This record gives sequence, C-alpha cells and structure tokens, in this order.
Amino acid sequence: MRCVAILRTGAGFPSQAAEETQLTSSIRQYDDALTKAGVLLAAEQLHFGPIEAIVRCSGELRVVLDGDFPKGVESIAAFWLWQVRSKEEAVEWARRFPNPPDAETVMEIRTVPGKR
Amino acid sequence: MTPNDSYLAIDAVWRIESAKLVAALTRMTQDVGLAEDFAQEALVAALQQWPDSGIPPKPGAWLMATAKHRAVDYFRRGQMLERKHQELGQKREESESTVPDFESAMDDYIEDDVLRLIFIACHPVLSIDSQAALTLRLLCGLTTEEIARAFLAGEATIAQRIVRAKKTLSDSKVPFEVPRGPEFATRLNSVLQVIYLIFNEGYTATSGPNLTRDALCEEALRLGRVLATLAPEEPEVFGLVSLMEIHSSRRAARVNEAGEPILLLEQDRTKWDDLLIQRGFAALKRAKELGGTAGFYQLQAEIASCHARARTGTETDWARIADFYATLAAVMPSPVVQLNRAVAISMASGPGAGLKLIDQLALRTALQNYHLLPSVRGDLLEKLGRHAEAADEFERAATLTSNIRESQFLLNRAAICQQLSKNL
Repeated sequence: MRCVAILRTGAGFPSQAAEETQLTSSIRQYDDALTKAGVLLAAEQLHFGPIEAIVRCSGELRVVLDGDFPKGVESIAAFWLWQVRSKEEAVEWARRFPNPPDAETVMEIRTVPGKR
Repeated sequence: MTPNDSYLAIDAVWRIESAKLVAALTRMTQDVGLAEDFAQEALVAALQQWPDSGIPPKPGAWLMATAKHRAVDYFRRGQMLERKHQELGQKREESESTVPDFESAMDDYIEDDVLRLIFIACHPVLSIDSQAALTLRLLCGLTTEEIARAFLAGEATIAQRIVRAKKTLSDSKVPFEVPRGPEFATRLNSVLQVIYLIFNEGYTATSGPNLTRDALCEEALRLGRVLATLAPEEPEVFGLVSLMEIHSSRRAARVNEAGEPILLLEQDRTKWDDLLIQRGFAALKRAKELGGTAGFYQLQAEIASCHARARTGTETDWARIADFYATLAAVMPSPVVQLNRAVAISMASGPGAGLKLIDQLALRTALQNYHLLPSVRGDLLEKLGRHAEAADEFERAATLTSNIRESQFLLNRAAICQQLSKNL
C-alpha cells in the first residue's frame, strides 16, 4: 500500500540554524534507511524553507497573501511517500523518525486511495 | 493494544529487520540455516515479551542482541560437548566448533551482509524454484504459508523446498561472499532472474486470489529497489528495476472488473501510475548513464518505456520498439522475441512486413506449438484481407492453447474470417 506520512511540528521544534543542520542531517539518515529498505518513493523537507505565499479561497473569491510568513505551531515540516506492506509497517517507520530532543511533533499517516 | 494488534506490529518490525538479522548472523555463523534458526528464536522471544513490555525503542538492535545470545549459547554447548568428547579420548578438529566472534559484528557491515545473503539465496547450486522460495523467505521475511499461498503450492511442499535448499547450501559449503571477477556477472544474472521470476509470478498470474499474487510483484519491486542501493554501479539492476516500475504502473489498468486481462493497446492509460512511470524512467536513465552495452533487462525497459511515453496507443513509436526488439534478439536469441519484433514491425510498416518476418519464424521448430504464432499470423492475414488463410490460423491457434476462454475467442475470430472469405 502507498501512503503519505505528514510531519507536523509542535512545541520545541528547532528554529535555530544550528539545530536545523543537526535535524536536517538526521532526517537525511532516516531517508537513507527508508531508501535502503525499498520503502521511500519520494520525500521533501519543508520546514526550513519559507512560506512563499498563501492563497485563500472563499467560494469564488481568491485572496493572495505574498511574503515570508512566520510558521506557526502545527506547520507541516516534511512529507514522505512510502510503499509499505501494511499500516503497521508505516507506523513502525513513523516511530523511527529521529525526533529532536524536547520537541513535540505529530506524524500523520494517510493511505493513497486506489494505490495498493 | 489487543493481542492481534501487537502481533501485527511485531510482524511489521520483523519484515523490516529480518533480512538484516539473518544476513549478519550468517556472516557470524557461516551457515544460513543456523542463522535463520537464531533469528526465528529472537522473533519468538519478541512475540513473548513485546506484547507486555511494548516494542523497544531500537527493535532491530533488540532482536540482534537476543539472536546473538542464542547463538553464543549454542556454540558454547557445542564446545562443552567437544571437551567431553576430548576427555573421552575422541579426537575432533579444533576449528570445527569454536565460538564465532560475535562482537565484531558492526552495523556498517550489515548492508554488505544483505547483499551477500541475496547472492547465497540465489546461488546456482539451487533450482530456480528453491532460489525464489528462499529469497522470499530470507530477504522478504515471508512465512512458509505466505510463500505457499503466493505460488499456489502446498505449505508442506514449500517448507520442504526451503529446508532442502538450506541443507544444499550447507553441504556445498557455499561461501558467504559477494562473488568477484568474471563470476560476478553470471551470479548477478542469477539474482536478477530470481527477482524477475518472482515479479512475473505475480504479474502474469492467471489464477489465484489477486491480492496475494500482487504481493509478489510488490516484494520483487521492493527487492529490486533494495538491490539498486546495494549494487549502485550495475546497469542491469537498474534495467530490471525500471522494467518492474513501468510494468507495475499499469496495474490498475490491466484487468477489467471481472478480473480479465486488458491488452496493452486497449488499456485506459489515464489509469497508469505516473509516479511509477517516472521512477521507471529515472532507473532507465541511471542504467544508461552507467554505460556498457544494453543488456536483457535494460532493453526490455526501453521497450516498456516506449509504451509508457505514448499517452495513447496510436502515439506508440513502433519503429523504435522494433529496433529494440532486434537488439534484444541479438542479446537473447529467442523466437518469442522475434515474434514480438514481427508484431512491432507490422505496427510500424504494415502487416505485410510483419508477415514476411513471421513466415521465416514459422519454419522454426521452437515455435511449432506456441499458440501465439498462428494467432499473430492470423491477425496479420486478416488485416491483409486473406480471410480464408486467417481462419485456418485462428483455428490452429485455438487447438494449441489450453486456456478455454482464449480458445473460444480464437474460434470466434476464425468463424468471422470464414464468413468474410465466403462473402467475397
């Protein structure tokens, strides 16, 4: 089954440059393990990139907000596309995420419908 | 967690860790059978302890430590027995049962170990069926029951096949190593053959519950992706991965609701999986970058990618496909490849050109009883308006296939051609 793992940040998630480097490299190792297990189809780390724009839709109405926005709690920090054998395998990989010390994060696992 | 939940969670850990576990233990014990026994014992311990204690933070390390303990116990017992034998005055060779050096088993080696394990499981001293069963068992962590279901075989048959395979490896003293020099290419070919067989077993399944057979495709593709990280300089590995990615991309389009196959040209291409197609293209690109003459899998991946690139059947570059088949026929002389080449030529340059090539093939004894030969020939004759001859070919093809549905289909075409020939 194919699934998307979405990482949401919570309290204590790194925001300093030095912490970023540390986290980015441990996520790279994590990705590496996923690749070597034949599980990883695609992935991107997003947290350390700016929010370029926000497009709000309200019915027919569109409002474009431009510029670098501060990332709030529960912002999406990364996502992965995995090919796993079962929900339990996805959960096991999610458990292995190298969470930074003292940080709260949430990994949400969603299946891609129609893609066994 | 209910007992079933924790069983499924442990099973997931096992599937992730088992190949690494068995591989590292094989290096330490130099015996794949023993290695698997110790790994299984660690699994049993996990099944007993984890439902209460929870899954440990590093489950892989836990399993490895537990398996190593079992192994050390086993070899110590062996040594004690030996000492007793010696006390009784029986001579034994000293080296036979020393405790292996388990402490030198570092994580760094494990990836190489997995590669060595693949080469052992696909060792030519075993029959290809045994290679496939052992690969699914040791590298994919499938149970005997799962393998039996996937191959539509009895559990006892598969269990026996695996036991025998392990014994053969042990008796033949097959070394735990990645072969070097000229042997490497032939042995790698044997590995690729096994992965391709597992894939095809699932892909061309004509019977059996579809889900289990699909799992074979998935396991093969996964194994191919793993192999690509372990042998990143081998073009044919990427060729095979590319081929499997592209074939897998058609999964949702290749059968109808009744489970009947849909021919490539009649598939709804919007149902093809773009992500897998792109991955297939990327793997093919990598294979080409690695250089060398295009091999068996790379050429088939090229053909598959020609189809994948065409958004409709009519956009297919048949001339290019025919060229690849010609090259493939040189790499892998096979009348079936020639037949495919003839079909591609007929699509590119008209039925007459295809028929010409087929008529050279028809003389070959190898295809004498192959139903696709008269079936393709009939198809081309029909397009050329030679209906009476076409009808004969379809009838002949119908007698050669053992598939009732296909036979019926061919007889219908024969009847239509018969009718058309009388009307003229």
